[in-house]
Amino acid sequence: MNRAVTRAVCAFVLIPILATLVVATSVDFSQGPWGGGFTLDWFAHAWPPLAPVIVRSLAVAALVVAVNLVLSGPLAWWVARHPSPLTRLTGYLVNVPLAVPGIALSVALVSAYAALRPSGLLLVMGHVVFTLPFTLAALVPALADEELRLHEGVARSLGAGSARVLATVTVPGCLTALTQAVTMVFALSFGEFNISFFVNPPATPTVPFALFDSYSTQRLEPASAQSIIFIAFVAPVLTAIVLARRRALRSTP
Amino acid sequence: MTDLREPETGAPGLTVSDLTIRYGDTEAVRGVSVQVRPDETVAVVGPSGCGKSSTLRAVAGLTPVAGGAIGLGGRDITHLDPARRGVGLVPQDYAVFPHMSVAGNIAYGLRARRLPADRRRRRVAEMLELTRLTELAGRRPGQLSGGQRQRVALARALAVEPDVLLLDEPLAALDPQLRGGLRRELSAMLSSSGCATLIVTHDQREALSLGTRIALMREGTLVQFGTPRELWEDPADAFVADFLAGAVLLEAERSPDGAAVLDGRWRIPAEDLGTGPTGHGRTRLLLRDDSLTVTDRDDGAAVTARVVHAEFVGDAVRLTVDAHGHVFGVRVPPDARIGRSVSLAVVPGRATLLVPAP
Repeated sequence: MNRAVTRAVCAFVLIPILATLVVATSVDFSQGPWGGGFTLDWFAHAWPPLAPVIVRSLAVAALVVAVNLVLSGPLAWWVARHPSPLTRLTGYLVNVPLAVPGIALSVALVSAYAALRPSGLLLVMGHVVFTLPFTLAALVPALADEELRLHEGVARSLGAGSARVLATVTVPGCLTALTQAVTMVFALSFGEFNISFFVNPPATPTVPFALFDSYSTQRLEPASAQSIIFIAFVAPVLTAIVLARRRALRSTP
Repeated sequence: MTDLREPETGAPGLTVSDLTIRYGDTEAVRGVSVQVRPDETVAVVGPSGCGKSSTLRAVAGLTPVAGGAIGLGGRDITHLDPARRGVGLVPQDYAVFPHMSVAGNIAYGLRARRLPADRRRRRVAEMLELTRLTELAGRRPGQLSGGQRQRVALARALAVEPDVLLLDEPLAALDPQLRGGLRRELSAMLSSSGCATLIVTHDQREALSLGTRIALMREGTLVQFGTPRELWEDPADAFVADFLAGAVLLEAERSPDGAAVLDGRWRIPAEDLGTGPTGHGRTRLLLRDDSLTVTDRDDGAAVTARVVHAEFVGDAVRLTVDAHGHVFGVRVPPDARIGRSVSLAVVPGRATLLVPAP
């Protein structure tokens, strides 16, 4: 039963991707699948304008991951290790952006920090605000784990200082959660459209915005080729998420 | 002999003086004083929630101390960072680092202390040999049995040559069938390590077999501290007698012809009683599982008891009986016919009258 459901879900996800691939490899999809024959020309046509956009999106996603870790690491530590009404309130507040529509969040950010918009910093900020709840959701339970804290206590009793305990016990102990958080934040930032659409200057689009633009203004075939290229970049990240989750399940006694 | 004197924190070995630990408004440990001499193993024993693990964690520096002092090797370590205390901690489920090999685990404290690589390798090899793990040096903890993980944790703690070794329920995570053998193995390894050791356990057999002295705790306080024989033969109160030996301790009045217990309703002839000295001030009668027998006698030397429960234990049936509000255990042959009540008498020489020294 479970296997049938899994296969149905996989089919539900894969069928649109395969359909997009069929469109992207058709000479003229208006004549039906592979109408006019099979071609890879649309990929050659789509790649040159898309390449700098992908580089930009990768840079934004990497920056978002880095800022996210710098902020959420200490924050998750504080929330996990010092339970109090204040830390619980912080936990709730961090989740608020998830409940606020992207347009409202974007307008608030643009109104408050207009000076940061041209440099792209506002986009990074918006993505950090949007992805922080996911990082905390992964890291707080890992850092609050009693077994990890016992391991840290043993390491300290053996003569290890705080930095050594962090590097040799805490980080390896949270590695699965960290991998999940990093890959999730990367994927969310790379594919984020709402905030990017409103906050980012149109001259320097991110990939989702470029795809939207292509589907709005170009033929279906090159836009589909761009979608397939986008999927090719996201697929390794999604695979890493799946592997990290499998590892977490395996290490659970 | 019970020793509740306040030890000096400057003494060699471990000294815990008047220790108090609080969790919020709850006082988990109150005024506990224990001393562990070098080369000695002290077992802290008591039921769940008595404060024994909190005491151990306070010695390791993992639980803040609200009052009292802890000394180790002549140093006051009450508020010292755990990394600078010189303790070797073996927690209940061993807390072996899962991402490191057996050798990596054992070397952890040596790396933290920046021991040169050649000395580190030699020390790891010594510890692997002591704990018979040489063949498993490259394995990960996930590939080891419970007993092997325990030995890794022990080797890791001993590798740093601690002033005191702290073991929290060392055998509790193991299968009951394995505990007997591993208890003897652990005892031998502790003897050969020559390190002052504090063991926390809720298992009285572990305490009796591993401890040179036993500290028995109840509800955050120390009830009795002495050698296993002292606690076995002269328990401080009925709780100690029951917890450590499953024995019953009754207030008694001694007379020339014997002893009277249960407010004079049971008079036991002198010829049936053994006697022993007590350091606890009052005359008491110590009855163990084998001290009583079911009898046909119906005189003052026997007492009538109501049968509460009968349990088949293989070579005998163990009766739980109630006599005037006191519960006793008594063994009868498996084929004995037992009614709702029985007459109990003392098996000659098996009950001990504890008499205060003159």
